[in-house]
Amino acid sequence: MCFPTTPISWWTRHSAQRLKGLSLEEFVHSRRWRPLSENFQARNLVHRVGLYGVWRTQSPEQMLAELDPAIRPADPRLPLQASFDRGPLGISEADLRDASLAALDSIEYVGVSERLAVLFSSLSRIWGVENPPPLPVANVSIHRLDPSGVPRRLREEILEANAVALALYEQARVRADAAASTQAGRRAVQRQSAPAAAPATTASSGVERASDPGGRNRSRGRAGTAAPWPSRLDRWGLVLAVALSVVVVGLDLILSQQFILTHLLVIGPCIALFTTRWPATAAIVVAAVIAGNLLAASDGVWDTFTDLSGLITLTVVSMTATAAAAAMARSRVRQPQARLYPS
Amino acid sequence: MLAFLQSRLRGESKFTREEVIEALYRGLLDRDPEPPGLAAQLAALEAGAPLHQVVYGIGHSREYFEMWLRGGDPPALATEAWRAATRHPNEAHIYFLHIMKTGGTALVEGLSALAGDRFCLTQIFLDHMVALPPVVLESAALVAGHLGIEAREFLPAGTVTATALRDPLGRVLSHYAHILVDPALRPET
Repeated sequence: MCFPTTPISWWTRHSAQRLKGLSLEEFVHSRRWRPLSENFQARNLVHRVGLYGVWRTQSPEQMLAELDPAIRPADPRLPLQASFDRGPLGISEADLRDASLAALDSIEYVGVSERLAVLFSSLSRIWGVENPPPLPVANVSIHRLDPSGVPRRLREEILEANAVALALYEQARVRADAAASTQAGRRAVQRQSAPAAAPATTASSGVERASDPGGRNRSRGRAGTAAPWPSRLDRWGLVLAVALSVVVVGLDLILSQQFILTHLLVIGPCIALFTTRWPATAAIVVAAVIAGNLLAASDGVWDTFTDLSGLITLTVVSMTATAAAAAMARSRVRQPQARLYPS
Repeated sequence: MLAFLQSRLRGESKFTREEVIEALYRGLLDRDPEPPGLAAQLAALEAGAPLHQVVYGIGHSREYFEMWLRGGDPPALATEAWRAATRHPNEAHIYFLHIMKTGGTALVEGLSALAGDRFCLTQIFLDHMVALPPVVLESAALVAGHLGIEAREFLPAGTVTATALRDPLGRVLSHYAHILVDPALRPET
Protein backbone atom coordinates (compact mmCIF):
# COMPACT_ATOMS: atom_id res chain seq x y z
CA MET A 1 0.00 0.00 0.00
CA CYS A 2 1.19 3.49 -0.82
CA PHE A 3 1.14 6.28 1.72
CA PRO A 4 1.17 9.94 0.82
CA THR A 5 4.28 11.70 1.97
CA THR A 6 5.49 15.28 1.92
CA PRO A 7 8.93 16.27 0.64
CA ILE A 8 9.94 17.31 4.14
CA SER A 9 8.91 14.05 5.77
CA TRP A 10 10.59 12.15 2.98
CA TRP A 11 13.74 14.12 3.64
CA THR A 12 13.61 13.51 7.37
CA ARG A 13 13.21 9.79 6.72
CA HIS A 14 15.89 9.43 4.11
CA SER A 15 18.50 12.14 4.58
CA ALA A 16 19.56 10.71 7.92
CA GLN A 17 20.28 7.38 6.33
CA ARG A 18 22.42 8.97 3.70
CA LEU A 19 24.21 11.43 5.91
CA LYS A 20 24.88 9.53 9.10
CA GLY A 21 24.60 5.88 8.27
CA LEU A 22 21.71 5.15 10.62
CA SER A 23 18.16 4.88 9.40
CA LEU A 24 15.12 5.02 11.63
CA GLU A 25 14.46 1.39 10.75
CA GLU A 26 17.90 0.43 12.04
CA PHE A 27 17.39 2.48 15.17
CA VAL A 28 14.18 0.64 15.87
CA HIS A 29 15.24 -2.86 14.80
CA SER A 30 18.95 -3.27 15.52
CA ARG A 31 20.02 -4.88 18.77
CA ARG A 32 22.46 -2.06 19.40
CA TRP A 33 19.87 0.69 19.57
CA ARG A 34 16.83 -1.27 20.71
CA PRO A 35 17.33 -0.55 24.43
CA LEU A 36 16.86 3.15 23.60
CA SER A 37 13.85 2.66 21.35
CA GLU A 38 11.96 -0.11 23.16
CA ASN A 39 10.05 0.78 26.33
CA PHE A 40 12.86 3.12 27.33
CA GLN A 41 10.59 5.07 29.67
CA ALA A 42 9.66 1.89 31.50
CA ARG A 43 13.34 1.02 31.77
CA ASN A 44 13.98 4.27 33.61
CA LEU A 45 11.37 3.33 36.18
CA VAL A 46 12.45 -0.21 36.91
CA HIS A 47 16.06 -0.82 35.89
CA ARG A 48 18.41 -1.35 38.81
CA VAL A 49 22.11 -1.77 38.29
CA GLY A 50 23.10 -2.20 41.93
CA LEU A 51 24.29 1.33 42.59
CA TYR A 52 25.34 0.50 46.17
CA GLY A 53 27.79 -2.02 44.85
CA VAL A 54 29.50 0.40 42.48
CA TRP A 55 33.05 1.15 43.65
CA ARG A 56 32.48 -1.30 46.52
CA THR A 57 32.19 -4.63 44.84
CA GLN A 58 32.49 -3.73 41.16
CA SER A 59 33.69 -0.94 38.92
CA PRO A 60 31.61 0.64 36.15
CA GLU A 61 34.19 -0.53 33.64
CA GLN A 62 33.63 -4.12 34.74
CA MET A 63 29.90 -3.66 34.46
CA LEU A 64 30.25 -2.30 30.97
CA ALA A 65 32.60 -5.08 29.95
CA GLU A 66 29.95 -7.60 30.94
CA LEU A 67 27.49 -6.08 28.49
CA ASP A 68 26.84 -7.81 25.20
CA PRO A 69 29.30 -6.25 22.71
CA ALA A 70 26.42 -5.77 20.29
CA ILE A 71 24.82 -3.17 22.57
CA ARG A 72 27.96 -1.75 24.18
CA PRO A 73 28.60 1.89 23.17
CA ALA A 74 31.76 2.47 21.18
CA ASP A 75 32.78 5.46 23.30
CA PRO A 76 31.94 4.57 26.89
CA ARG A 77 32.87 7.77 28.65
CA LEU A 78 30.11 7.14 31.19
CA PRO A 79 30.24 3.38 31.67
CA LEU A 80 27.78 3.22 34.55
CA GLN A 81 25.25 5.35 32.71
CA ALA A 82 25.72 3.20 29.62
CA SER A 83 25.11 0.05 31.67
CA PHE A 84 21.92 1.57 33.00
CA ASP A 85 20.71 2.81 29.61
CA ARG A 86 21.51 -0.32 27.65
CA GLY A 87 21.94 -3.25 30.01
CA PRO A 88 19.39 -6.08 29.83
CA LEU A 89 16.30 -5.69 31.98
CA GLY A 90 15.93 -9.41 32.41
CA ILE A 91 12.17 -9.41 32.99
CA SER A 92 9.17 -10.25 30.86
CA GLU A 93 7.01 -7.54 29.33
CA ALA A 94 4.18 -8.37 31.73
CA ASP A 95 6.49 -7.98 34.72
CA LEU A 96 7.92 -4.80 33.23
CA ARG A 97 4.42 -3.42 32.91
CA ASP A 98 3.48 -4.22 36.50
CA ALA A 99 6.75 -3.00 37.96
CA SER A 100 6.89 0.24 35.99
CA LEU A 101 3.25 1.12 36.69
CA ALA A 102 3.88 0.50 40.38
CA ALA A 103 6.99 2.67 40.24
CA LEU A 104 5.06 5.43 38.53
CA ASP A 105 2.46 5.25 41.28
CA SER A 106 5.19 5.75 43.84
CA ILE A 107 6.36 8.98 42.20
CA GLU A 108 4.81 12.03 43.78
CA TYR A 109 4.81 14.39 40.79
CA VAL A 110 4.13 13.04 37.32
CA GLY A 111 3.76 15.14 34.19
CA VAL A 112 3.71 14.77 30.45
CA SER A 113 5.83 16.56 27.89
CA GLU A 114 3.01 18.46 26.25
CA ARG A 115 1.86 19.84 29.60
CA LEU A 116 5.22 20.36 31.20
CA ALA A 117 4.18 23.74 32.56
CA VAL A 118 1.73 21.98 34.89
CA LEU A 119 4.52 19.89 36.40
CA PHE A 120 6.76 22.95 36.58
CA SER A 121 4.07 24.85 38.42
CA SER A 122 3.58 21.99 40.91
CA LEU A 123 7.31 21.74 41.64
CA SER A 124 7.67 25.52 41.90
CA ARG A 125 5.16 25.51 44.74
CA ILE A 126 7.55 23.41 46.79
CA TRP A 127 9.87 26.39 46.68
CA GLY A 128 7.08 28.82 47.45
CA VAL A 129 6.68 30.15 43.91
CA GLU A 130 2.99 30.32 42.99
CA ASN A 131 3.17 31.72 39.47
CA PRO A 132 6.40 30.61 37.81
CA PRO A 133 7.50 32.25 34.57
CA PRO A 134 7.08 30.44 31.24
CA LEU A 135 9.41 27.52 30.72
CA PRO A 136 12.39 28.08 28.45
CA VAL A 137 12.83 26.15 25.23
CA ALA A 138 15.76 23.78 25.63
CA ASN A 139 17.40 20.83 23.96
CA VAL A 140 14.93 20.58 21.11
CA SER A 141 16.30 18.40 18.33
CA ILE A 142 17.05 20.47 15.27
CA HIS A 143 16.07 17.60 12.97
CA ARG A 144 12.64 16.87 14.40
CA LEU A 145 10.79 14.11 12.64
CA ASP A 146 7.14 14.38 11.82
CA PRO A 147 5.40 11.21 13.09
CA SER A 148 2.95 11.40 10.20
CA GLY A 149 5.88 11.08 7.81
CA VAL A 150 6.92 7.73 9.28
CA PRO A 151 5.61 4.73 7.32
CA ARG A 152 2.59 3.20 9.02
CA ARG A 153 4.24 -0.18 9.37
CA LEU A 154 7.23 1.30 11.18
CA ARG A 155 5.01 3.48 13.31
CA GLU A 156 3.04 0.45 14.40
CA GLU A 157 6.23 -1.44 15.18
CA ILE A 158 7.45 1.40 17.37
CA LEU A 159 4.16 1.50 19.25
CA GLU A 160 4.15 -2.27 19.61
CA ALA A 161 7.66 -2.21 21.03
CA ASN A 162 6.56 0.52 23.41
CA ALA A 163 3.31 -0.96 24.67
CA VAL A 164 4.41 -0.62 28.29
CA ALA A 165 5.63 2.93 27.73
CA LEU A 166 2.26 3.74 26.20
CA ALA A 167 0.44 2.43 29.27
CA LEU A 168 2.71 4.54 31.46
CA TYR A 169 2.11 7.58 29.32
CA GLU A 170 -1.66 7.15 29.51
CA GLN A 171 -1.47 6.96 33.28
CA ALA A 172 0.81 9.99 33.36
CA ARG A 173 -1.68 11.92 31.25
CA VAL A 174 -4.48 11.20 33.68
CA ARG A 175 -2.36 12.47 36.55
CA ALA A 176 -1.25 15.55 34.60
CA ASP A 177 -4.86 16.37 33.75
CA ALA A 178 -5.81 16.06 37.41
CA ALA A 179 -2.93 18.31 38.42
CA ALA A 180 -3.94 20.88 35.80
CA SER A 181 -7.52 20.89 37.08
CA THR A 182 -6.32 21.37 40.64
CA GLN A 183 -4.07 24.23 39.61
CA ALA A 184 -6.78 25.87 37.54
CA GLY A 185 -9.15 25.69 40.52
CA ARG A 186 -6.52 27.16 42.83
CA ARG A 187 -5.86 29.99 40.42
CA ALA A 188 -9.57 30.71 40.07
CA VAL A 189 -9.77 31.03 43.84
CA GLN A 190 -6.74 33.32 43.80
CA ARG A 191 -8.30 35.49 41.12
CA GLN A 192 -11.52 35.77 43.09
CA SER A 193 -9.69 36.70 46.26
CA ALA A 194 -7.39 39.13 44.44
CA PRO A 195 -9.37 40.59 41.52
CA ALA A 196 -6.83 43.36 41.02
CA ALA A 197 -4.07 40.90 40.16
CA ALA A 198 -2.06 41.96 37.14
CA PRO A 199 -3.35 40.33 33.93
CA ALA A 200 0.23 39.70 32.79
CA THR A 201 0.82 37.36 35.75
CA THR A 202 -2.14 35.13 34.99
CA ALA A 203 -1.55 35.25 31.25
CA SER A 204 1.91 33.82 31.70
CA SER A 205 0.98 31.15 34.23
CA GLY A 206 1.71 27.56 33.43
CA VAL A 207 -1.83 26.21 33.62
CA GLU A 208 -3.32 28.59 31.11
CA ARG A 209 -0.48 28.01 28.73
CA ALA A 210 -0.70 24.28 29.14
CA SER A 211 -4.44 24.18 28.61
CA ASP A 212 -4.08 26.15 25.40
CA PRO A 213 -1.77 24.16 23.18
CA GLY A 214 -2.15 26.71 20.38
CA GLY A 215 -1.04 29.50 22.61
CA ARG A 216 1.75 27.36 23.98
CA ASN A 217 3.02 26.62 20.53
CA ARG A 218 2.95 30.24 19.62
CA SER A 219 4.83 31.18 22.73
CA ARG A 220 7.44 28.46 22.63
CA GLY A 221 7.79 27.88 18.95
CA ARG A 222 7.74 31.30 17.42
CA ALA A 223 8.22 33.77 20.17
CA GLY A 224 10.37 31.52 22.37
CA THR A 225 10.72 32.92 25.86
CA ALA A 226 9.30 36.32 24.96
CA ALA A 227 6.05 37.06 26.76
CA PRO A 228 3.04 37.70 24.54
CA TRP A 229 2.59 41.11 26.13
CA PRO A 230 5.36 43.55 27.01
CA SER A 231 6.78 43.09 30.47
CA ARG A 232 6.50 45.91 32.98
CA LEU A 233 10.08 47.00 32.21
CA ASP A 234 9.37 46.97 28.48
CA ARG A 235 6.20 48.97 28.95
CA TRP A 236 8.06 51.61 30.93
CA GLY A 237 10.76 51.70 28.23
CA LEU A 238 8.15 52.36 25.56
CA VAL A 239 6.44 54.99 27.70
CA LEU A 240 9.78 56.70 28.26
CA ALA A 241 10.57 56.62 24.53
CA VAL A 242 7.23 58.24 23.66
CA ALA A 243 7.46 60.73 26.52
CA LEU A 244 10.93 61.95 25.56
CA SER A 245 9.88 62.23 21.91
CA VAL A 246 6.94 64.38 22.98
CA VAL A 247 9.28 66.52 25.11
CA VAL A 248 11.56 67.06 22.09
CA VAL A 249 8.58 68.05 19.90
CA GLY A 250 7.31 70.38 22.62
CA LEU A 251 10.71 72.06 23.06
CA ASP A 252 11.10 72.48 19.33
CA LEU A 253 7.69 74.12 19.08
CA ILE A 254 8.44 76.38 22.04
CA LEU A 255 11.89 77.39 20.78
CA SER A 256 10.51 77.76 17.26
CA GLN A 257 13.21 78.75 14.76
CA GLN A 258 15.89 79.47 17.37
CA PHE A 259 16.84 75.80 17.60
CA ILE A 260 16.15 72.97 15.18
CA LEU A 261 15.73 69.83 17.29
CA THR A 262 14.75 67.32 14.61
CA HIS A 263 17.93 65.30 15.19
CA LEU A 264 16.99 64.77 18.82
CA LEU A 265 13.94 62.76 17.81
CA VAL A 266 16.26 59.74 17.47
CA ILE A 267 16.02 59.45 21.24
CA GLY A 268 12.63 57.71 21.01
CA PRO A 269 13.69 54.85 18.71
CA CYS A 270 17.02 54.51 20.56
CA ILE A 271 15.27 53.95 23.89
CA ALA A 272 12.58 51.75 22.35
CA LEU A 273 15.17 49.39 20.85
CA PHE A 274 16.20 48.25 24.33
CA THR A 275 12.76 46.78 24.85
CA THR A 276 13.60 44.45 21.89
CA ARG A 277 10.01 44.96 20.70
CA TRP A 278 10.68 45.78 17.10
CA PRO A 279 7.08 46.46 16.05
CA ALA A 280 6.77 49.03 18.83
CA THR A 281 10.16 50.48 17.89
CA ALA A 282 9.08 50.70 14.25
CA ALA A 283 5.86 52.47 15.27
CA ILE A 284 7.86 55.02 17.24
CA VAL A 285 10.19 55.42 14.23
CA VAL A 286 7.26 56.22 11.95
CA ALA A 287 5.87 58.69 14.48
CA ALA A 288 9.30 60.32 14.86
CA VAL A 289 9.77 60.74 11.10
CA ILE A 290 6.29 62.25 10.72
CA ALA A 291 6.97 64.55 13.67
CA GLY A 292 10.33 65.53 12.13
CA ASN A 293 8.63 66.57 8.90
CA LEU A 294 5.96 68.55 10.74
CA LEU A 295 8.58 70.28 12.87
CA ALA A 296 10.60 71.16 9.77
CA ALA A 297 7.53 72.83 8.28
CA SER A 298 6.76 74.53 11.58
CA ASP A 299 10.36 75.78 11.91
CA GLY A 300 10.35 77.09 8.34
CA VAL A 301 13.27 74.91 7.26
CA TRP A 302 11.27 72.54 5.02
CA ASP A 303 13.28 71.21 2.07
CA THR A 304 16.49 72.90 3.21
CA PHE A 305 19.85 71.27 3.89
CA THR A 306 19.15 71.45 7.64
CA ASP A 307 15.83 69.69 7.15
CA LEU A 308 17.24 66.99 4.91
CA SER A 309 20.28 66.28 7.11
CA GLY A 310 18.05 66.05 10.16
CA LEU A 311 15.56 63.73 8.49
CA ILE A 312 18.26 61.53 6.97
CA THR A 313 19.98 61.19 10.34
CA LEU A 314 16.65 60.45 12.01
CA THR A 315 15.68 57.88 9.39
CA VAL A 316 19.02 56.06 9.35
CA VAL A 317 19.36 55.91 13.14
CA SER A 318 15.71 54.92 13.57
CA MET A 319 15.83 52.12 11.03
CA THR A 320 19.06 50.85 12.56
CA ALA A 321 17.36 50.87 15.96
CA THR A 322 14.43 48.86 14.57
CA ALA A 323 16.76 46.32 12.99
CA ALA A 324 18.75 46.10 16.22
CA ALA A 325 15.55 45.55 18.21
CA ALA A 326 14.57 42.72 15.86
CA ALA A 327 18.06 41.18 16.10
CA MET A 328 18.02 41.40 19.89
CA ALA A 329 14.59 39.76 20.01
CA ARG A 330 15.84 36.89 17.87
CA SER A 331 18.95 36.37 19.96
CA ARG A 332 16.85 36.45 23.14
CA VAL A 333 14.79 33.44 22.10
CA ARG A 334 17.72 31.38 20.87
CA GLN A 335 18.75 28.60 23.23
CA PRO A 336 22.01 26.71 23.34
CA GLN A 337 21.69 23.35 21.54
CA ALA A 338 25.09 21.80 21.91
CA ARG A 339 25.41 19.20 24.64
CA LEU A 340 27.96 16.53 25.11
CA TYR A 341 25.47 13.93 26.20
CA PRO A 342 21.82 13.25 25.48
CA SER A 343 19.36 14.86 27.78
CA MET B 1 38.45 25.79 18.49
CA LEU B 2 39.48 22.24 17.77
CA ALA B 3 38.72 22.69 14.08
CA PHE B 4 40.85 25.83 14.11
CA LEU B 5 43.75 23.99 15.71
CA GLN B 6 43.33 21.10 13.30
CA SER B 7 43.48 23.45 10.35
CA ARG B 8 46.70 24.82 11.84
CA LEU B 9 48.04 21.30 12.09
CA ARG B 10 47.30 20.67 8.44
CA GLY B 11 49.82 23.37 7.69
CA GLU B 12 47.29 26.04 6.83
CA SER B 13 48.93 28.62 9.05
CA LYS B 14 51.98 29.61 10.97
CA PHE B 15 51.40 27.37 14.03
CA THR B 16 53.61 24.32 14.08
CA ARG B 17 52.65 21.03 15.68
CA GLU B 18 55.12 21.72 18.50
CA GLU B 19 53.43 25.02 19.21
CA VAL B 20 49.99 23.44 19.32
CA ILE B 21 51.18 20.72 21.74
CA GLU B 22 52.90 23.31 23.89
CA ALA B 23 49.71 25.41 23.98
CA LEU B 24 47.68 22.37 25.07
CA TYR B 25 50.13 21.55 27.87
CA ARG B 26 50.20 25.13 29.09
CA GLY B 27 46.44 25.50 28.90
CA LEU B 28 45.47 22.16 30.43
CA LEU B 29 48.41 21.26 32.68
CA ASP B 30 49.85 24.72 33.34
CA ARG B 31 53.38 23.73 32.32
CA ASP B 32 55.60 23.23 29.32
CA PRO B 33 55.70 19.71 27.91
CA GLU B 34 58.63 17.56 29.00
CA PRO B 35 60.75 16.41 26.03
CA PRO B 36 59.55 12.77 26.09
CA GLY B 37 55.92 13.88 26.36
CA LEU B 38 56.30 16.32 23.50
CA ALA B 39 58.00 13.68 21.39
CA ALA B 40 55.27 11.14 22.10
CA GLN B 41 52.46 13.56 21.21
CA LEU B 42 54.24 14.63 18.04
CA ALA B 43 54.77 11.02 17.07
CA ALA B 44 51.08 10.34 17.58
CA LEU B 45 50.13 13.26 15.36
CA GLU B 46 52.68 12.21 12.75
CA ALA B 47 51.12 8.75 12.78
CA GLY B 48 47.76 10.31 11.89
CA ALA B 49 46.09 10.52 15.29
CA PRO B 50 43.40 13.23 15.31
CA LEU B 51 44.02 16.24 17.51
CA HIS B 52 40.96 15.59 19.66
CA GLN B 53 42.53 12.29 20.68
CA VAL B 54 45.61 14.14 21.94
CA VAL B 55 43.44 16.62 23.85
CA TYR B 56 41.38 13.77 25.28
CA GLY B 57 44.56 12.01 26.41
CA ILE B 58 45.85 15.06 28.24
CA GLY B 59 42.42 15.84 29.68
CA HIS B 60 42.10 12.34 31.10
CA SER B 61 45.63 12.01 32.42
CA ARG B 62 46.31 11.42 36.10
CA GLU B 63 48.13 14.75 36.28
CA TYR B 64 45.15 16.66 34.91
CA PHE B 65 42.78 14.87 37.27
CA GLU B 66 44.92 15.62 40.32
CA MET B 67 45.20 19.24 39.30
CA TRP B 68 41.43 19.49 38.86
CA LEU B 69 40.82 17.83 42.23
CA ARG B 70 43.07 20.28 44.04
CA GLY B 71 41.62 23.24 42.16
CA GLY B 72 38.05 22.01 42.51
CA ASP B 73 38.21 22.14 46.31
CA PRO B 74 35.70 19.45 47.38
CA PRO B 75 35.55 20.70 51.00
CA ALA B 76 34.38 24.09 49.72
CA LEU B 77 31.74 22.37 47.61
CA ALA B 78 30.46 20.45 50.63
CA THR B 79 30.42 23.65 52.70
CA GLU B 80 28.47 25.48 50.04
CA ALA B 81 25.96 22.65 49.71
CA TRP B 82 25.47 22.42 53.46
CA ARG B 83 25.01 26.16 53.93
CA ALA B 84 22.50 26.30 51.09
CA ALA B 85 20.52 23.46 52.66
CA THR B 86 20.42 25.14 56.06
CA ARG B 87 18.98 28.28 54.47
CA HIS B 88 15.88 26.31 53.45
CA PRO B 89 15.54 23.80 56.28
CA ASN B 90 11.86 22.93 55.90
CA GLU B 91 11.68 22.40 52.18
CA ALA B 92 11.38 18.99 50.61
CA HIS B 93 14.25 18.08 48.33
CA ILE B 94 13.30 17.41 44.73
CA TYR B 95 14.58 14.56 42.63
CA PHE B 96 13.69 14.93 38.97
CA LEU B 97 13.97 11.57 37.27
CA HIS B 98 14.75 12.86 33.82
CA ILE B 99 13.90 10.43 31.05
CA MET B 100 15.73 11.30 27.85
CA LYS B 101 13.80 13.27 25.24
CA THR B 102 10.74 14.01 27.31
CA GLY B 103 11.28 17.76 27.62
CA GLY B 104 13.02 17.47 30.97
CA THR B 105 15.86 19.82 30.08
CA ALA B 106 13.43 22.73 29.79
CA LEU B 107 11.93 21.81 33.15
CA VAL B 108 15.34 21.56 34.82
CA GLU B 109 16.43 24.88 33.35
CA GLY B 110 13.20 26.44 34.56
CA LEU B 111 13.72 25.07 38.08
CA SER B 112 17.38 26.11 38.09
CA ALA B 113 16.32 29.63 37.22
CA LEU B 114 13.91 29.63 40.17
CA ALA B 115 16.34 28.01 42.60
CA GLY B 116 17.94 31.21 43.85
CA ASP B 117 20.45 30.38 46.59
CA ARG B 118 19.49 26.70 46.69
CA PHE B 119 22.16 24.17 45.80
CA CYS B 120 21.24 22.19 42.70
CA LEU B 121 22.83 19.16 41.06
CA THR B 122 21.53 19.09 37.52
CA GLN B 123 22.57 17.27 34.37
CA ILE B 124 24.50 14.71 36.35
CA PHE B 125 24.88 11.09 35.33
CA LEU B 126 25.06 7.92 37.38
CA ASP B 127 28.84 7.89 37.09
CA HIS B 128 28.90 11.27 38.80
CA MET B 129 26.29 10.43 41.38
CA VAL B 130 28.05 7.39 42.81
CA ALA B 131 31.26 9.40 43.13
CA LEU B 132 29.77 12.41 44.92
CA PRO B 133 30.29 12.86 48.66
CA PRO B 134 27.06 12.05 50.53
CA VAL B 135 26.95 15.52 52.10
CA VAL B 136 26.77 17.10 48.66
CA LEU B 137 24.13 14.71 47.40
CA GLU B 138 22.02 14.98 50.53
CA SER B 139 22.20 18.78 50.71
CA ALA B 140 21.03 19.43 47.17
CA ALA B 141 17.60 21.03 46.91
CA LEU B 142 17.28 19.68 43.39
CA VAL B 143 18.92 16.60 41.90
CA ALA B 144 18.16 16.02 38.24
CA GLY B 145 19.53 13.62 35.70
CA HIS B 146 18.96 10.40 33.79
CA LEU B 147 19.45 8.52 37.03
CA GLY B 148 16.57 6.09 37.14
CA ILE B 149 14.43 4.99 40.05
CA GLU B 150 17.27 3.42 42.04
CA ALA B 151 18.89 6.82 42.60
CA ARG B 152 16.13 7.69 45.06
CA GLU B 153 17.80 5.44 47.59
CA PHE B 154 20.83 7.74 47.66
CA LEU B 155 18.75 10.80 48.52
CA PRO B 156 17.52 11.91 51.94
CA ALA B 157 14.24 10.67 53.34
CA GLY B 158 11.41 13.00 52.42
CA THR B 159 12.79 13.77 48.98
CA VAL B 160 9.93 14.08 46.51
CA THR B 161 10.35 12.50 43.11
CA ALA B 162 9.08 13.96 39.86
CA THR B 163 9.18 12.73 36.30
CA ALA B 164 7.72 13.54 32.90
CA LEU B 165 6.65 11.08 30.26
CA ARG B 166 6.05 11.53 26.57
CA ASP B 167 4.04 9.75 23.93
CA PRO B 168 6.34 6.86 22.98
CA LEU B 169 6.30 7.49 19.24
CA GLY B 170 7.33 11.11 19.61
CA ARG B 171 9.98 10.18 22.16
CA VAL B 172 11.53 7.49 19.98
CA LEU B 173 11.65 9.80 16.97
CA SER B 174 13.18 12.54 19.08
CA HIS B 175 15.78 10.17 20.49
CA TYR B 176 16.66 9.02 16.99
CA ALA B 177 17.02 12.63 15.81
CA HIS B 178 19.13 13.41 18.85
CA ILE B 179 21.53 10.56 18.19
CA LEU B 180 22.10 11.77 14.66
CA VAL B 181 23.31 15.17 15.79
CA ASP B 182 25.14 14.20 18.98
CA PRO B 183 28.81 13.61 18.29
CA ALA B 184 29.12 11.37 21.33
CA LEU B 185 26.40 9.03 20.11
CA ARG B 186 26.76 8.96 16.36
CA PRO B 187 26.95 5.53 14.83
CA GLU B 188 30.37 6.31 13.40
CA THR B 189 31.91 6.80 16.85
